[in-house]
Amino acid sequence: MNKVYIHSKNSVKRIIMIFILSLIPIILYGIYKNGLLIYQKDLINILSIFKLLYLIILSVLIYFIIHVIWKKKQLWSIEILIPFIIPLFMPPSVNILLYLIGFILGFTLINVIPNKFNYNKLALIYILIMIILLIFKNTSYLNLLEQNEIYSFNTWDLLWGRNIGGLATTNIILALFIIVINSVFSSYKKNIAIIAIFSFCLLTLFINSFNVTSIINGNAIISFILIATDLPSSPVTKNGMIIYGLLIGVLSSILCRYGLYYEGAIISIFIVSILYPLLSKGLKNDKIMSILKNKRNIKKEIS
Amino acid sequence: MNLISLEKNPQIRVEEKLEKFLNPDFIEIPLNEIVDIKKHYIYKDEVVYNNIKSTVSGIIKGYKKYCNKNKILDTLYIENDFREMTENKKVKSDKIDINKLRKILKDNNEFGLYNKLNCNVSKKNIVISAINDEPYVYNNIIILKENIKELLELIDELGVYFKTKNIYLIVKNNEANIINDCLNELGTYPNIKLTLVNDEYLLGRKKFIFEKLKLDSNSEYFSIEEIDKMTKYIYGKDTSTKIITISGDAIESGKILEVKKYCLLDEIIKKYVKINSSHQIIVNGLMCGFEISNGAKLIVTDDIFAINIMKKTKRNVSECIKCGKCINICPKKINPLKKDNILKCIDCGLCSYICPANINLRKTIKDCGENNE
Repeated sequence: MNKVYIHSKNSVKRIIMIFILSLIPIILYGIYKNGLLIYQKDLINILSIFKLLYLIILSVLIYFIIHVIWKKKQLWSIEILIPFIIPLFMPPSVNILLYLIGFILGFTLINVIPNKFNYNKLALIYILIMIILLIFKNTSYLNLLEQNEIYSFNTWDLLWGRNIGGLATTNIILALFIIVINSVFSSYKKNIAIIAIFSFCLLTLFINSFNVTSIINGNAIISFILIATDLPSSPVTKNGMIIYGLLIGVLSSILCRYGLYYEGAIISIFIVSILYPLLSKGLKNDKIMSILKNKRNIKKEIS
Repeated sequence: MNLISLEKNPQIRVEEKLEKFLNPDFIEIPLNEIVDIKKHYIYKDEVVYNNIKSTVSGIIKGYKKYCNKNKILDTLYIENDFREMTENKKVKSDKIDINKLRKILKDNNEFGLYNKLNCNVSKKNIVISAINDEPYVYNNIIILKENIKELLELIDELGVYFKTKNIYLIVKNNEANIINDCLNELGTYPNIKLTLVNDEYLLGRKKFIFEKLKLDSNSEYFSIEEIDKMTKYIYGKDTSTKIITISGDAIESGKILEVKKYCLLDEIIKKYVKINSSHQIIVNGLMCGFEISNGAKLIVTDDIFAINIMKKTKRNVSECIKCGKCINICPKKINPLKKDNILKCIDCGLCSYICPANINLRKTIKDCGENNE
């Protein structure tokens, strides 16, 4: 029987644990920026400091009920990362009840849609939650401190998390730390994140007259790091990852520039995750390849 | 091409000395069909059937059945009389003559080695590999250690025969004992270069060691086992034995044994191995081997080189997470997800080894390859 009786320490559980551990710094920063700092100004009570933690714990509970108990799937499957990632992107003013409704709807939907459709599950759940928040006009990305006071930060402060974004998506330095940890110790498609960040930054700076804050504000960079690199929905080959990252970076730049400043990156990730399998099938299609080759030959003849 | 070192269990230890099990009570020689042997008594090295020789002298007791990889074979059952009686005297020689060796190899149907020793062909490089790819297997190292002088002498003669001055003796850099022994003896053989390589999987295969050393196709490859076989023919030594390594985490300590061919594994285990817990027996390595059920008979034929007695572990298989590790690690860049280039598979087992979801990719690829054929 063709089997292997020795195995590397690499396992799905280990990948999940390393990823969750790498999120701890940004979660702690999120609690500090959107909790402790506001509490120090007496704008919220002590229990509200840990809003992010409540969202994570409730999301994990919903995961357990839907995924493990109802659908009877394994506890340590890659979907367990969804309840840890989605709350990080929520606006600081998010209503917990509305969030829960959106999360339950979204998580149920992804468990009902057949696996043969390729799409980014994280992006879909985020979009559903944001639609519900939009209906109830609960989409402000300014926390209470930012609403009440005016600040002026330099670029370094903005990189270290004093910009405007989700509950735990503002600290870009700590987010880059996630790339390093997961690339070294775990399975992580760093090519997607790096190419997406690079193409997004280049195009955005060009469109916005090299205004650095246009790439720092919003959720874009951390979306590329946490959501675009979603293992099941992203390509596995090196060339595939580069093209995927490039498409995401370019589309994000366009969407963020023309209206969708905070949601644009995640919406572009969702669109590319649906379109990419069709694109890769098309590139492998013999008819299309022969048309491309004929064009190349004609150009050579002309030259 | 990046090769990897397999993660090993430090609790699995093998005693680095060769023990001998040369007096089995019985041997069973697998046959493709029942042969009518009218004799009652058989000599050691006497041809039984189709160039297969008996490895002991003794009384033919009859025939038995043997299940080998889902095939049922008949076996000739011989009771050992422990006398080691032979019909013909072996021709012993003190000098190494490659042309005489070629004749001996041809007479003994060793056509693989015979073809390698082609007349009038010069080689730029010769590679002698003392590496066993499979983890916890040390056969080649122990062969080199036990017969180093004779082996080096033959290797040097091969260098003269192939008109080459580049002879690489490949040893893993974590085999400290053998490195010392080699360094002590190599002084008299300036053409033989002791080449240390990392303990990486697949360096025991010709293609990968050639790539590692950047050698072209005008090079020849021998394993130390092949060199040892040739020295046995030259010096008229006993060719009825073979070396196997028994190791595993379900036994106290592993052993390297020289055993008679066609003896039964059960006899070896009863005498030499103490099993601690519920176990599974894997034959010919943990990467490319196969499992036999407890209590099943295993005859130590020429192709058996390792026995691993491992604790029973259960691995949960989950859905593919599309991490891409199987594609990155494959030496042939096969994509098991899309089943591209499946016929190129060299059956190394690395895809199954690295898969975090514990999917048996090796079996999937093999089954697809068989369907495509």
